[in-house]
Amino acid sequence: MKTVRSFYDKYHMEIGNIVLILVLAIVLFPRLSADYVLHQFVIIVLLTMGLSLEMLSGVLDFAFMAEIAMTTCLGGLCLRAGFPVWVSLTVMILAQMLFGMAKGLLIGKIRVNPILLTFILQQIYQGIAAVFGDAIQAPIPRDYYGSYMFWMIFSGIAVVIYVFLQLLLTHTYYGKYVRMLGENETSVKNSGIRFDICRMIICGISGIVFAQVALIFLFITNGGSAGIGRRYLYPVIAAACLGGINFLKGKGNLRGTVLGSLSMVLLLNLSAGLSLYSYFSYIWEIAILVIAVVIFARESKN
Amino acid sequence: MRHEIIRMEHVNISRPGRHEIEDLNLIICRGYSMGVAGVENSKEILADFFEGKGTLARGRIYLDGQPWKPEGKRDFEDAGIFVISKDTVYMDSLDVSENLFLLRRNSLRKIRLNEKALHIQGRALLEKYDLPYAADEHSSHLKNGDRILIGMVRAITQGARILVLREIVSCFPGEERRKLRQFVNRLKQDGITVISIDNRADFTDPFFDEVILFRHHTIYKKICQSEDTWMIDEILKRGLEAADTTIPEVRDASGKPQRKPVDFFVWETFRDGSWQPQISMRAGEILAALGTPGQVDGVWSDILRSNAMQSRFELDGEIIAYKNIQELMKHRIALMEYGNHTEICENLTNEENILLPTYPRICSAFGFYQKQQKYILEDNFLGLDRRDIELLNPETEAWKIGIYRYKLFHPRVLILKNMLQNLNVREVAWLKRELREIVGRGSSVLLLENESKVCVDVADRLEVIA
Amino acid sequence: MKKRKRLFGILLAVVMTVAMMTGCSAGKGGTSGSGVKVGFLAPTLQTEFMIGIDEKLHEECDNRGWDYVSASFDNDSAAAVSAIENMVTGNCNYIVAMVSDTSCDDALKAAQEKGVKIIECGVETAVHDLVLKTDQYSIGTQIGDMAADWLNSQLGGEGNIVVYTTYQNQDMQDRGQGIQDAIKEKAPNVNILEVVDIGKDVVGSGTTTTETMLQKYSNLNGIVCYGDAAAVESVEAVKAAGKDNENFGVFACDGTNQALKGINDGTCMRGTMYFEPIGSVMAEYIQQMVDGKTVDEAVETPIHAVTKANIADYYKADK
Repeated sequence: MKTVRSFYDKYHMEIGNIVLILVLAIVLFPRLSADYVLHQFVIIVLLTMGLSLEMLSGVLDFAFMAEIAMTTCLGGLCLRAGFPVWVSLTVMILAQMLFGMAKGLLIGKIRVNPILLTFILQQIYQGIAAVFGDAIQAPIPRDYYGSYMFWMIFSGIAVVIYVFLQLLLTHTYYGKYVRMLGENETSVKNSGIRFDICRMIICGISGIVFAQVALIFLFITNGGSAGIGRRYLYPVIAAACLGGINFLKGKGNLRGTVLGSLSMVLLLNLSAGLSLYSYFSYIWEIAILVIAVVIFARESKN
Repeated sequence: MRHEIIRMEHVNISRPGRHEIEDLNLIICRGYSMGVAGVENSKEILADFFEGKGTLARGRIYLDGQPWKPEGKRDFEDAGIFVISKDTVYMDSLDVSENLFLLRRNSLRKIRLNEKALHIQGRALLEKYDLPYAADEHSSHLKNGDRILIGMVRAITQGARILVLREIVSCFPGEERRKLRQFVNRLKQDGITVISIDNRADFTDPFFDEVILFRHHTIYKKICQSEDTWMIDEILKRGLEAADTTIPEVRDASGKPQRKPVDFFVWETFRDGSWQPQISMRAGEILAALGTPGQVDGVWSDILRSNAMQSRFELDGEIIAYKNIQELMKHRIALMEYGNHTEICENLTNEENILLPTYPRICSAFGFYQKQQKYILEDNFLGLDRRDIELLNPETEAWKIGIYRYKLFHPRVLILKNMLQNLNVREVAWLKRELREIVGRGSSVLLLENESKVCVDVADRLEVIA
Repeated sequence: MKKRKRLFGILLAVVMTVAMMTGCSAGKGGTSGSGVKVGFLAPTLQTEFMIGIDEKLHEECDNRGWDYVSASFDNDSAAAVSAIENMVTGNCNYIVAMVSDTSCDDALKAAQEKGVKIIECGVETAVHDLVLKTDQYSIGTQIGDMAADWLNSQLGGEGNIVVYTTYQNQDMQDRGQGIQDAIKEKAPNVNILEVVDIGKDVVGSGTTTTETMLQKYSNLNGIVCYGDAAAVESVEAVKAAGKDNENFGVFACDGTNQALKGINDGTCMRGTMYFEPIGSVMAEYIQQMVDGKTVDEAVETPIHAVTKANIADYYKADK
């Protein structure tokens, strides 16, 4: 009994997520389409992993979707200008990484509340992306959306990123810095750790993860736009919270992130599946966020 | 002969917003132990200096015989000087070894973390210093004292030669203090110098080579164990008051002897058809009237006339019947209750709050009073450092502002309710000194309290409320 | 830790309750007995125009016993893709997609391959079973004709007007061009003083732009606008400036209730283009597809010019 109890205490987030996934899967079972779930899961899990890394280091990022939109616009422009695909993709990954590093450096240097700073960055990036116009259609040579191989490649990338981040968090100094920054940035600073550079590197790594989603968006929507992916902002934050990522204390793990992402994908399907108004999705997301923030804040206070 | 690490010669250390330490002469040797105590923030400024926050305003410092001008925390850490305080960094998300080896200046090129090696090294260190923690233990349950010890070991692994322990004794209650003592003794054996900056210096008793007392922003006394053991013992028993028994001189703005405002004072209530004296005092006396909380409240409300009881004062035979507090104030009878400082205005500065009753007298028609303000506060009357006044926290130290105000107001009688019982030892010492100054000018002080322990030390006479 | 468990407790309870309540009420495969489920993908569900379509379509589906679900993608093409996927997962067999470009083509194609009928509205892309087209340039010329008729009859074919358009969207740009071309052709003596880009769906820009125009051109006689939202704001600004008289006219498009009310009340709102309720039109065509009838691949949205002369046919006070 004691063993069961301690197992439950240790893995309660995972167990909770699995139960949630099972319940949703049963409710949605006759309609669930494996390929659609895979599409949405790959996107959300990549975003959630990137965001979780930032959240573990104490940054609740509201700018990442705007960065992705900027990157897709950049990729679209490169393709339209006739650059080879591999050049365009490299530019996108580098740009997204630079956006992340700039964000990390600003958070480290200016030391204002990251939420406020990322909100400001979000507005700036959206403004810049809007300069390009409503949408930038790119000459994508074939239908990648319907390509099984395309999704398999990105699923593989997601697995590689999961393994990489897992190793980073558990077997490297930077993984420890992530946890330390998440727990108490002031203490890290007082210890003499070059926390601003560490934060920059961490956000840069997150940027590379986000870049994968920018690539997916570019390919499946045949271009980029200022508003692309905006709708994913809150579901992804909610997925990270569902996965137990506590941005106020640097706690959580990637296992939870993956399960949280799957839960969120199914929750997003629930509204359409049950003919509910699409606003129900917003309610899920915001309700999860509010509950999570209240709980995390109280945990942090304790 | 001991190896000299640091020598300070006629050093002045300043910090913004605080009075500087003046004329500091110190030699800190290897394996040396030193206690630093004092009042007026001097020891805190010294601790701040070792943390790289102070400024060397004057004098010379030698490190290992070479002139040295530290400019920040990093310089001190490079010189092997680490400050350990109760806020010493500790991360719950890391295990003990990681806390020992990761919370330090890092190299960005180091990526792979060899946890096995980390734990082996951690275990060896913990064994060396007899610390009963597992190296791979996730240690959110550790007490604050344990975290401080781990912080000290971390400093040692970073090459600490001098450990400055900043007010950490309170984190080691009871039996824990023995652990700290053992640990510090062990450090001394290893040739590490320990400087304890703390007024609660009792834990360091067996190994102190020297105790330094700060007063009036400079070293007041250096006590070496061999020559002044009795004084250290006395300090350990009674705290700083042992070395600071002199009562400050009475300051007088005019320079003339102060006329005693009242020779005797009686508070009377009307009962059973006649006026009956309840409390009688003489001029320049501190009287503590002791009773249960209910009795104290009863007397207080009788004085305030809030329970319709008829009450009056008699000062040198003059009967003072009053209807409200304002009338009492006119006769310079002031009242103050701890925790009820409604008279302190949030929108005014501390200085203005102190001077508020005095403004009508010191302001000219055009409202220029700065010069008089300085004269009153700094030069001739209160003798305060104006920067110190502004550092007073109006929320927690409103009572101090009140005391300053009434000191300046120069009451004939000052009645204080529940003051001593709400103050800590240092604050009681401060209040005692201030009250001595107040009564030294001829005022009488009545303390309404319900605890007698501290009152014995402060009051001249005790009375029990009937 | 206990609090985290509480998070899941609350969430599970909510999910299960919703699932039980709605799952039990849903029929086989999540659709009603008719087996028809319509999904409406809107760029936004926050403007009167879009809300009107959503409500009408919902009403028509309810009347026919069909299931209905709507989702807005808020001009986010990635969200549109996932909304399409969710609709397919949700067993929709007809998706009415008001996409703004070709970014959702692949997702729509995949849905089509799964047997879902795609009805596009507004913008025509390569993937559709039926497209409800609106020729924006033609709509623009109709607005322009309406304005020119009024200028010719009221002001003797002379006057000064400004045109509100936007270059942020190709359709609206086309509509704006149609307005200008029609006015130039039908009322050649009318001066188009300025063509202003007022942005797309920017609340408040109609007011501020009109205030500026009225100050800038004291002899202004009219405003011709690409949409009713900005036109209604303009009318208010004109009223505030005291220019709401018989020699001032505002013309626009969309047939919103506020614009119709303006025409009916005799304000300077002189004319708008009334779209046959798109919801009803779409439901009608879906009905034909359900019934197995052959439908043309492209149909024009019926549209009517509304002025003071025929306002009674379109405006109902209790609407």
